Amino acid sequence: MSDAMRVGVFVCHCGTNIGGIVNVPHVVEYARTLPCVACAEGNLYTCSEDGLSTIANKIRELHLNRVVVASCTPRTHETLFRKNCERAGLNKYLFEFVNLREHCSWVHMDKPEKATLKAMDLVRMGVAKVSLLKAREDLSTAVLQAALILGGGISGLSAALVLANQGYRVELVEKEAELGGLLRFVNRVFPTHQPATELLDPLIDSVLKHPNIQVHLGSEIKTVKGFVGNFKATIDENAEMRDLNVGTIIVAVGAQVHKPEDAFGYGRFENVMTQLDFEGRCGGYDAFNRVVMISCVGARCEERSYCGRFCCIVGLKNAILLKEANPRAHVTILHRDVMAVGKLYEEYYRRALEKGIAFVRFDESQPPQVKGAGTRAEKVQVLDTLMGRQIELDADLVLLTTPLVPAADNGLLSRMMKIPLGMDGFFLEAHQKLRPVEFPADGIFVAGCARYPAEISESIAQALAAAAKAAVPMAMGRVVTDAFVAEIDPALCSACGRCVTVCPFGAVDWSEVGGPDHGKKSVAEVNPAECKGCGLCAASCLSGAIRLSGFTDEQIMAMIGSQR
Amino acid sequence: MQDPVGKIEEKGPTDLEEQIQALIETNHLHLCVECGKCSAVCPMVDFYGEYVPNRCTRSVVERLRFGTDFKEDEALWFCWACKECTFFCPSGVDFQSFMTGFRLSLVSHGYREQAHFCDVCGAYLMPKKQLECLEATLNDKPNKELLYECPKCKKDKYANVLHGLAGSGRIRARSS
Amino acid sequence: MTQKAVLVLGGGIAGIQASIDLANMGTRVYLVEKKPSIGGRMAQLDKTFPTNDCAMCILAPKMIECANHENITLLTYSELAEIQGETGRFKARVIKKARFVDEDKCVGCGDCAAKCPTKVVDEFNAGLGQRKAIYKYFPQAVPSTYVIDPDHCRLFQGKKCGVCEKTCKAKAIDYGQKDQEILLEVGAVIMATGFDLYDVSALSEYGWGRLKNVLTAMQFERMICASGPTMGHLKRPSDGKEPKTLAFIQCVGSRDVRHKKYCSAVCCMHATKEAILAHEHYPELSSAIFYMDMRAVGKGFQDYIQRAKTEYAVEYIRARPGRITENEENLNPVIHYEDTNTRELKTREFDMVILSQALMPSETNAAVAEKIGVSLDDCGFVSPSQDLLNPFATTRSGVFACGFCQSPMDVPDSVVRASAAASKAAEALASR
Repeated sequence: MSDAMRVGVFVCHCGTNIGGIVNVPHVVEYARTLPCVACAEGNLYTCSEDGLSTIANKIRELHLNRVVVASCTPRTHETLFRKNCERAGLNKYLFEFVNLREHCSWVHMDKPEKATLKAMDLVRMGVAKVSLLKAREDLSTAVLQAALILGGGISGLSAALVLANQGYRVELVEKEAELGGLLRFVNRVFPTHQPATELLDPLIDSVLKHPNIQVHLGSEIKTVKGFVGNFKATIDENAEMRDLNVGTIIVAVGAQVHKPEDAFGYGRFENVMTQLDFEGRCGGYDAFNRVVMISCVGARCEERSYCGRFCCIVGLKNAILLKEANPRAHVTILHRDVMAVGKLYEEYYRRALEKGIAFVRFDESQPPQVKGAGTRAEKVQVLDTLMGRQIELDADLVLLTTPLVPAADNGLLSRMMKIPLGMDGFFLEAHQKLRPVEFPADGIFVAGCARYPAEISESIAQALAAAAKAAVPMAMGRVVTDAFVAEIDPALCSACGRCVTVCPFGAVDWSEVGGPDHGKKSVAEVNPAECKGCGLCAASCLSGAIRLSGFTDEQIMAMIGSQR
Repeated sequence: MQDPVGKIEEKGPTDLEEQIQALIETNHLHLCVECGKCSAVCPMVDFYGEYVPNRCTRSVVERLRFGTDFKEDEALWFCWACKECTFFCPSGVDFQSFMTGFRLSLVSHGYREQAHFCDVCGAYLMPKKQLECLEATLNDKPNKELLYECPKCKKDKYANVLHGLAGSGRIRARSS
Repeated sequence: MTQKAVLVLGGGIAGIQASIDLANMGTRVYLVEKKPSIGGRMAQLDKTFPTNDCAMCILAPKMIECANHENITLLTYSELAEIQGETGRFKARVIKKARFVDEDKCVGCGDCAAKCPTKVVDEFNAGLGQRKAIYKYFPQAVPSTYVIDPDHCRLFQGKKCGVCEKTCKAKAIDYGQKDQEILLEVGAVIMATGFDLYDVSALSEYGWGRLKNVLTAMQFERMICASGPTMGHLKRPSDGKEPKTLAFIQCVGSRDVRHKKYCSAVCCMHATKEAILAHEHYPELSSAIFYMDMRAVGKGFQDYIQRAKTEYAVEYIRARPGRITENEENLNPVIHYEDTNTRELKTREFDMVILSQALMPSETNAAVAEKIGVSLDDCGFVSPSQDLLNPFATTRSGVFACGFCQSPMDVPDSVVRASAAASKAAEALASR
């Protein structure tokens, strides 16, 4: 080693988050005493512009070749600090992040002296480890400028069109014989009340005519292999197997409407049906005089805790249409809350009230009772919680407002592409606030009801958002991935397969290498382009064949071994 | 705090039920979302010294929409039409105007037991319950006579007095 | 010749997200923000529902990404003066207001503010606490450059001072700095101008501004935020004591024909969040939320409400209170309401009452819309697109809108729509 190790340590106050508990100046002083430390500084907010430029300046002035930042969490700030080092001329993998906030100040708020000692320990460990880090380069892989869109409903169609218009090739796979998804069964859409076909038909037309879009109807996805930039999907298109090579994938497989088994007389009475069933009937909105709608059927309950998001609005729509067709009809909506969120929907709710549609509130513990004779429902009894008494409504039509529920083959797709499902059975995005249309695995995105119930404008918004995310790697033509990946030594691999199963990103797969006596043997292999460096494989390996760079045994032992 | 004296519309639906329905619609009672703000600002509790749910604005609106025998419903005669509820209603329900019109409508159809009328001309003044409260408050005070005559009749009475005081020709007599 | 560049108006989470997406696609982005820092309303929040992530922690990396991205030019403390042209060929004139501090020299150390003699009511902290006449908008501001407020600075008001100039070691103070005019050529525009808070003193029945212990939700957020004026401690304004009981009143100014007729979309959730946070800070504390409809429609939102009820001592009362009076002895606010579920008229005293104020399109939105030729509806939101298939289009071709300026919405919805608007802008640029 020709160069002496010159480590820069930067300890953050993080306002009062760290500095209010940990004695930061003390830690800084202590850091100066550690081996190889060329400088140690304290900052109020290291992530601020001046904090970053302080680090950059020190790197240049003191020719630092290692940097330790002791502040908050790498989850939010690692990229930031690494880029900063890079800009200052230091390889970004020669940087170590010590967490003094989540790992120290925040969890030891009542023990400031001990927290300070712990902070000193953590910094010392960081310095010990950083010296063992090696310079690395990011990995860069080429990206095919093509997208696979699973699902030909409003989401899939919107995403396909906007990507195709930007010049990307799109493969649109739809399992039904026609495009359109759930909207095919919807009569009119809110709030304009135009026929759904008015929206769908021109969109489908544009998609079918677009030179950049290849539509595969009656097709089911069978396997997906590969990683961002290079996916190979095999589809079964009308009994013919076909391979599609794409760079990105958008999952827009939609959802289905909940059918309440024998609840409220559904299935028993011919005039009790879901909102979608009702829309599917041809005409006759003026044929009803006493309509009762029941909200939250199969939603916000023990079985299914979520709210269907826009089913209240579907109820309002049909109520308004019924009332407009027959102004003398009595239309009553039995609800637990009216979820008319925002501006457009609150206005729509008011429109329903202005038309004379009545709203009755009931409690989950005492649901309405639908009473009838023979095959027809005749009355609905409900305890109106706001009036405090039981009321009885005549009914010649009972509509059940049900939520959307996950599509039947979500589980299959989840396993096929290693994309997670939430507790509710819908696909689970990478981060609810800031990455709502992305999956943890790069290059795969989600939009529309596959993620959670969404109405038209929401579905289109998500589809366009997913398209924007997909366009990024395709526009750049390359993806750059982190260099802290797992590496498997084939000589030590015993082919037990634990790592292959345990990887959440599908980054570990089987590979054949030369075996003893010129034969072949199967070993596990990590695809560095897909690997996120989570370390699960390394932890699961019983043969010690896997090392995770950035967290090697030597580095960890150095951290543990350093004594105060 | 008195209901203004007014005439029933000459034109319009003659049937009482239709009239009430029209009042409900014109005054936007169907826009009520049952938030309860009206009941909370209503001074009725202070006037009567007790809170009875059936009397309060929200409950009345509810019952009117779902059907109540308003000819017999005594609880509809406690409101003083002070306008607090109308002022604060977030949905735009004009309960005060409804109440005013409602009482005039009922009275004109012969439902007079709950109402108190002007001693002089017989015009509707206020609910009997309001009168009882005001009587108790004013007690033996001289202004108590204000409770028994409508504003128009009082104006006529004072006009006559003033006319008498005016003497010869300096104030022109009213032509009505 | 299509300008492969986009002008983004508004540096809140929507504007930031749209900028990053476009920049990542290789498009040049000019992000114009009227305040001295990007970050918008999200920067004022403590935590965000339903994950209870620290708002600044998830926002700051995105702010820094904007600042450091080679394809993004940040124009803060700037406003759009004029724009002409059409899709593919817009010419915009932006005025960069003078900070009186040199951005290249200022290191954000804060020595100037420490010495500045003038205190001003702090807008970022919702009126709680004070800042100086020379200030950084908030501690994690991007850019971190200080700015002088000429309306309050002694020197600019004609009095003797100059302390900041003497104190600044980087020699960054420049009293003679002038507004700068910047001309931009872009192919598309994205409006992401966000929202302002309704002045709830208009609802005199609730006494905000008059009753000491009645606050707005934004004031509560600033109070409970660790980097706020009370360092994250809840203190009753009247006596500085810790409250043991909180009340949240929903729809203050929203869903009200006398004020704002629409629903502000996020208040049911943020009140629940605030009640949860308060309980986390003070396990003895309990809250009551007065609501009409509990609008928790998003992913995970219903579970959030359930947890609030079962684990965080939050009581939900269906009532729209009539008025708030005050207990003269201890200045506790007293809420007068009808519990619509039990039909009882009640008065209940609380240590502190928080009003979930209505949210409205930002006050500068109207001026911006007029300059761009985008029509607004009667509430000041960007008029909804007539074409349901094209929800981000405005009345001016080539100009897209996203986020709260279109309609009240929360962070995940804003982020989705921002990326969607970016998609549409990219499509518009590609098609010419």
